[in-house]
Amino acid sequence: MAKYLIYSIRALVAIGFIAPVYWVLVLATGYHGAAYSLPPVWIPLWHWGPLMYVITHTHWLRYLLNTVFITAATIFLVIITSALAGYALAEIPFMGNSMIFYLILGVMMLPQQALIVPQYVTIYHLHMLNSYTALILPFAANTSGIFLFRQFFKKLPSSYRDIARVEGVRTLTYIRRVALPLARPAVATVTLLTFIASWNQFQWPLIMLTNQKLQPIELALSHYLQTYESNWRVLGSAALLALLPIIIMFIFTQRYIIQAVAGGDSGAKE
Amino acid sequence: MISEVSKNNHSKIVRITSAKLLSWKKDGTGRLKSTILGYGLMLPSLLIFSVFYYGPAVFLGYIAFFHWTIFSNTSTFVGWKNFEILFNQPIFWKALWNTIYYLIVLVPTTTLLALGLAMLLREAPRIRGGGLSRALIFLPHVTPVVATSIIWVWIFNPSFGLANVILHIFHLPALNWLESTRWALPSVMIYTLWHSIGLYTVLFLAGLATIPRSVLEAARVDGAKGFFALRKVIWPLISPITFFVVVLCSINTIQTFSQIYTLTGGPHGGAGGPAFSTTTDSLLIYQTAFMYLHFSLAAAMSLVLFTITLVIIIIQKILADRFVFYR
Amino acid sequence: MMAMLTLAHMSKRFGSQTILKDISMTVNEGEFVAIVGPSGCGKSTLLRLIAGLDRPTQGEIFIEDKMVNLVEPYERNIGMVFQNYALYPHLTIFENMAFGLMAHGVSKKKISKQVDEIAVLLELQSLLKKRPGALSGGQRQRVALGRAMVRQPRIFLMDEPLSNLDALLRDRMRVELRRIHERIGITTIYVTHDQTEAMTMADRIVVMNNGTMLQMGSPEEIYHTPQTTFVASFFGSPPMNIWRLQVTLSDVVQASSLQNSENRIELPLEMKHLWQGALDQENCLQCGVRPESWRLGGEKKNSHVMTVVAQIERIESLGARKIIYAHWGEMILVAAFPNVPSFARNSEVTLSVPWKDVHWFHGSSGEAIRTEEKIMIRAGGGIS
Repeated sequence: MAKYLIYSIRALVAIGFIAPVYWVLVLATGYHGAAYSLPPVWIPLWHWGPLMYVITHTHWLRYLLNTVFITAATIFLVIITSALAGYALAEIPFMGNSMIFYLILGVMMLPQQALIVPQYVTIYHLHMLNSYTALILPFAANTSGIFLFRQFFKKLPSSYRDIARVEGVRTLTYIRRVALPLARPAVATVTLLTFIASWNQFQWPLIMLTNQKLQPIELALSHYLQTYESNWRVLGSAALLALLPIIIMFIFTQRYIIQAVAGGDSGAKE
Repeated sequence: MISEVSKNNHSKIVRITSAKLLSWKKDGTGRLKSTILGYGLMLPSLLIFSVFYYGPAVFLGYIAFFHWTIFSNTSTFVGWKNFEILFNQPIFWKALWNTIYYLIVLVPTTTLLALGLAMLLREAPRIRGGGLSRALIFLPHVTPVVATSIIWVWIFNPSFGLANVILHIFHLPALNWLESTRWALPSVMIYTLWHSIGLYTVLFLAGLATIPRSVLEAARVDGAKGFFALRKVIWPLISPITFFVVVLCSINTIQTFSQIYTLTGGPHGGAGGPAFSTTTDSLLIYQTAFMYLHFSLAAAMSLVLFTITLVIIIIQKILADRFVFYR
Repeated sequence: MMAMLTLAHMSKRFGSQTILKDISMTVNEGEFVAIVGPSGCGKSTLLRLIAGLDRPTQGEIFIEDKMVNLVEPYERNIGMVFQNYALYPHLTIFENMAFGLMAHGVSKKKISKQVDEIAVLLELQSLLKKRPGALSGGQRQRVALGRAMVRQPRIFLMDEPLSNLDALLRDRMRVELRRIHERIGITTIYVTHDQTEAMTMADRIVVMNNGTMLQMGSPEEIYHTPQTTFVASFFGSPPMNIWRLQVTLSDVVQASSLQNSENRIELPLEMKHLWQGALDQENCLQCGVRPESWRLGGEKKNSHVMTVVAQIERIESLGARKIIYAHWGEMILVAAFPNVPSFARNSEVTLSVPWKDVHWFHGSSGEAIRTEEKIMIRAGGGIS
């Protein structure tokens, strides 16, 4: 009995959490004016018209592609920088490595909102305002990525590297051909976490961009919301464009994402 | 025999020169080489961190104590002048109060609710669908803020939004939500709670998973049940993870920007409204710098926020040392 | 014969810890040298220093005539085999073997020719397209060896290459490794903790303990003239009986066990020069007897043999031979006999050993006494 009570409470809570996301779908594919109906509409009508319109007749697709490009580029660079730095911290006893370790840890401690002003000034002086670079480069390295790779590389048998040294394989070749392919779980985790962070960027592009052509979909949504709040079907459809990729990704990888976030093995248990 | 001698001589020469080399190289070459290699590999990350994070952090101090604008290269040292100006503006105090209000309501609420949800998901783990509920509760955390804020703007709409429909079902008076000075910030809190609680729930679940089942069973045999078991047995064991959750939640809460900007920014006026009721420090910094272009003032404000963050972490650390039970 | 590898007064310290102390040795071209010692004795570190993976704190390494202290591992032209084989699990056997060559930009044609050659030699042709995960332990071992051979090194370094195999396979691989060595004749340095491996495979053995080199010599030398009690007890199975005895001088010279002076043997005066040198400050010496040296029976009066009466405690029958564990006073006596009629437990047995087969070691340092003379005595077939 208690079992079923818990079961229903759980189901209710879960439905409550998912409901707002579901409503994006209802609004986007509902009839015109569905947003205003009382009592509220519960079932999506699968009118894909507005979504097709958004994709074909507006700039939304371009904004979506901006986001895709920024996200992909960031992931690519993060994996490179993290793998290199993680390898150095894991395998190479260079002078001052413990200081560097804390320097990298320290980046996580800096409160982002307090840095936004001097960061803007820096980007300004680097003549990087209104560029993809400004949206990608500052996030092309991150602490958790470095530590993830470091942890993983430490687990590789040291004889792997010894053999490479005996055979005269250069460190970069070794990382590219051996260490990185073997660290596939770390690559996956870093990819997922960077994907989420990068896809959901909002404040940074808001500050760094004035050129509408470069804006990611989140920023475009925000501008649109502030101008035409009442156009719910278009808004909903555009929001759907921003939501769908990340939700689909989440459906397939939620176990690993949760595991990565929780840091423990809670994700592995059922 | 001759060759033997010459060989000996040869190796002697080699040995002498090598001794010379060793006197200054010794382990040094290996050490030096690996250091160059190490820094070479660290370089991309270190460059990014120093140019975009540590550099600006240092630069922040500079901007805050100078009269400085981004478009002219002149700057004059003004000492604490920027802070003086700042402290004389009512909006600064209003924003500070909003930040603290936001913080002291949201952090305990989030922590307790997350713990509750974690307990709910942990109970009777053999019931099917536990993993699914966890995933659904976590899902909002990975969604982009603006895209989901849109739906919450709709939910909070006073005339046709879902929030008032629910209040109506429970025979409660309708609210103006984002359009009222009293309820706008709580509305943002509700959104934030929805968006972030999955993260903390999952952290608690990971913490709970480290408690050996035998401990709980022993407590149960001793007659500890329900709330008592939570307080006396589970709580001490999860206090480290709780501390972590509280710290992380505080930092994230102070950093809240996107949802405030989006939820309160609609056609009814600039973000932070109505009547500055949702203007927190991070929003004020943004507006001061990027709408009114008072960079020095914004920098001074950032420094205040920096300090507040630090103070909160220190206070929590002190409290933790007294109350957190480390195994 | 040409010296392929020379180590001169080499030491290695990590911080305040000394791993290796003053190691000197020469390995000739084509030689198979085993470095043996218990785990933690520094033998693997020594191998890493030779490979160039670590650098010595003091001393020099010469390969042929060149001082290589500062030479990178790959320029030393060595091949290495690790205990865990260090095969990259995501690469095929071919890629694993070719990896070093590929990284050096050797042409594809040349690589496949070289790999194929080795594959034929080691009978690996059918495995080239597989990944290490699909191979048995013995196959992986051969692949690791093959990878080391592909680059045609001057020296092979092997770090416990057979330890991960089961006993049966280990015996087979031992023979195979030795056969391969005889065929290609590359100088090989082989680290192991297993004395049987060392004895059966090596031309010469280096015995190490606590970071020092105790003895270097052929298996026969190591077995018959161990220079310390450690070497004596490390080789041979079951190990040598080594007793610490108190020597007393009265009308005859007697050596007795420390706790029970009833257990005593009379030391032969003809061998005074040996046992006298073995005495330490407490008038103690150590004498060692190989289990195989014991003979049944004997009498106290015979001055050519050492005779003891021991209490049998346990008998192990290994088919071809029997091992007797007995007590001589508080001391344990182990004796091995090729197929001898049954012994009864708890019965007394009289055992003897010719004095010439007794090893003498210094009472406290454990160093062997005047080995050269002993060999002479041995060669002379006894004492006159």
